[in-house]
Amino acid sequence: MNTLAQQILGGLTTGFIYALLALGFSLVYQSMRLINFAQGDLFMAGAFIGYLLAVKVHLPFLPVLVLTVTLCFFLGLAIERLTLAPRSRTASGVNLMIRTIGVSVFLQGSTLLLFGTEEYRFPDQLSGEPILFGGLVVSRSLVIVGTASLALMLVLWAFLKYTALGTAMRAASQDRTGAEMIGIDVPRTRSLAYALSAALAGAGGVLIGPLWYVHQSMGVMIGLKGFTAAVIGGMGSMPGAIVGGLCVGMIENLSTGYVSSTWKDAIVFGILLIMLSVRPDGIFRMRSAERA
Amino acid sequence: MAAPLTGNGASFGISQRNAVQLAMAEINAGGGISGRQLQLLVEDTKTEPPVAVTAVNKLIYQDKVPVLIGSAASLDVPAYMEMLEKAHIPQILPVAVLPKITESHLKWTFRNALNDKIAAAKMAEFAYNTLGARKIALLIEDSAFGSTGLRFAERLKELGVEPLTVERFTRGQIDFGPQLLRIRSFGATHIQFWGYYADYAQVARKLKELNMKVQLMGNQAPVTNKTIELGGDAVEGAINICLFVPTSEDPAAKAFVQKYQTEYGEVPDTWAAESYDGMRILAQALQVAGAVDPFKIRDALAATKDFKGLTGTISFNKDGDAEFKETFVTKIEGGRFVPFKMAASH
Repeated sequence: MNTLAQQILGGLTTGFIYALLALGFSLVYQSMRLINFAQGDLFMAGAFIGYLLAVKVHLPFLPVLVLTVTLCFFLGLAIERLTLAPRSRTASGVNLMIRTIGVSVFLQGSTLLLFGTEEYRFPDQLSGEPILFGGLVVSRSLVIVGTASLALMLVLWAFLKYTALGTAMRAASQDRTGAEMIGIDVPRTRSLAYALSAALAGAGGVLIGPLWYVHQSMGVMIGLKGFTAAVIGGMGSMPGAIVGGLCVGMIENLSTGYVSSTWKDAIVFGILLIMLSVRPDGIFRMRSAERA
Repeated sequence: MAAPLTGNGASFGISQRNAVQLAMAEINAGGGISGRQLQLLVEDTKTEPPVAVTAVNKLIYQDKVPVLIGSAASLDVPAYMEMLEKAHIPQILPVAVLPKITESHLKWTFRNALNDKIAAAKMAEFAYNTLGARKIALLIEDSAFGSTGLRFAERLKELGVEPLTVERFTRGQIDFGPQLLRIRSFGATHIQFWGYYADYAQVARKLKELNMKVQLMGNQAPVTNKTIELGGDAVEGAINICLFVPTSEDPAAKAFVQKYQTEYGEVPDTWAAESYDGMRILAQALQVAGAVDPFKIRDALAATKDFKGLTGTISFNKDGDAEFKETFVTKIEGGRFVPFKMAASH
């Protein structure tokens, strides 16, 4: 029983990271009707940016997190402006999707040139004794990753709900033509959505750094897991992305602990296939997302 | 010589080239072999098996070398080794540890590196005899490479102890919690790991986080400074099997480390020591053969007995694998690999 609880707890940490990525997938999907294949690579870019800030500039954890999220926001903005925005009105969905694949390959390739395939140690700025809670080991990483993820999610939610820009973004994602008629700058809301998703991915990269290590292809598998989480939760749904992420993390740990690590990925992606065929809208059905 | 000077295996290949050059310069300075100077031709395999085939082809048929020092990259070797059998060119392999190479009943390949399977058996003997470990769990990578670690379980059973559990993981796994919690539930006091250095460091960090007081033991691959960089203080006290550590007190080892450092400005790793030994075993065989004749060189290599090298006392068995009299085990102490020496196991 203790082991079971510990396994579930362990899955939550990676689950929060998947949730951050899933949120990014959902945000871009909702605003742009686009699956962003570069999501995992933006996560990797965030991890490397965080690594450089922590190791070369010697910043403590919180500034590293805030700065990385900001830098990734602008990186996302630049990527959207340079690669996705041009001729986006007449481009097909497939065309845009292929552009994101291009971005993904570009990010991986440039990281390979700069850092090679080696693993780098992210400084353990927050390590400390784990907290014991009735026989359970609650690692500091879980507390930090969980708090930071929830805080970011809260900020995002408040932004979408209570600011004019956030409202404009939601309006544009529900009805592009209608939004344009009332004077909303839709290309701008699209850029904003992409930049926000890049910021979320970057946060994921910084948060996982101290638990793992940083390397060039780290975003590939995690990106796919984030995508799975978004689909399980319901592409386009914010609460769905969070629940989906935590579910994927726990399923992964439980299948490793009770079945075998060989089957871990097969089980997660098997669930993805089942969800796609049985309940393609995910646990949280999208309300108005597909009406545009 | 064929060596992976670029690509993934570059760190091995560069150690190999440096050490072979060092050994050859010493031999030539001492008058060469029967008055003849040795000459080294180096081809880069780029850590890509097809390139290795081309490189070895060129060395054999264009440059007409009588003997080859084989690639440090384990996966390069199966690609070209059959070619040597046909061409009747002997090869000495100083770094590649892949068991499959010597399981192919080759007549022209001799390996003075430690076959990973032999390493697994030796590690089991070490755990059983020296550490007195009885409650051991295995944690191995889910791949052909990791499965070599199963030889550890086999040898342990022969000694009369059943491993408590065999847990598998995928390379690059983030959270080792699931496997380690299972291992904890079996009450293991020792964990034998078989896999890649980055995962080894992750395991050590997770053990520390879970506050599990067990002895971590590992294969040869994690014996690199990267393990210490990634694992930090969590890898302190971890034990690995390894042929050579530069902190060795042995006078020959000390002299080698000093010469290597003067020449190349860095501390030699185990791969460098193995390559240095490989070159010297080859020189001894050339001396014995007395002629530049691949058949005679092969026979002389096969007859190598109790060669005293930096990495131990080496004889070749019928598969062409080096049998070492000693087992070197290294321990991480104060952020360095230091010798954890034990007596001969038989």
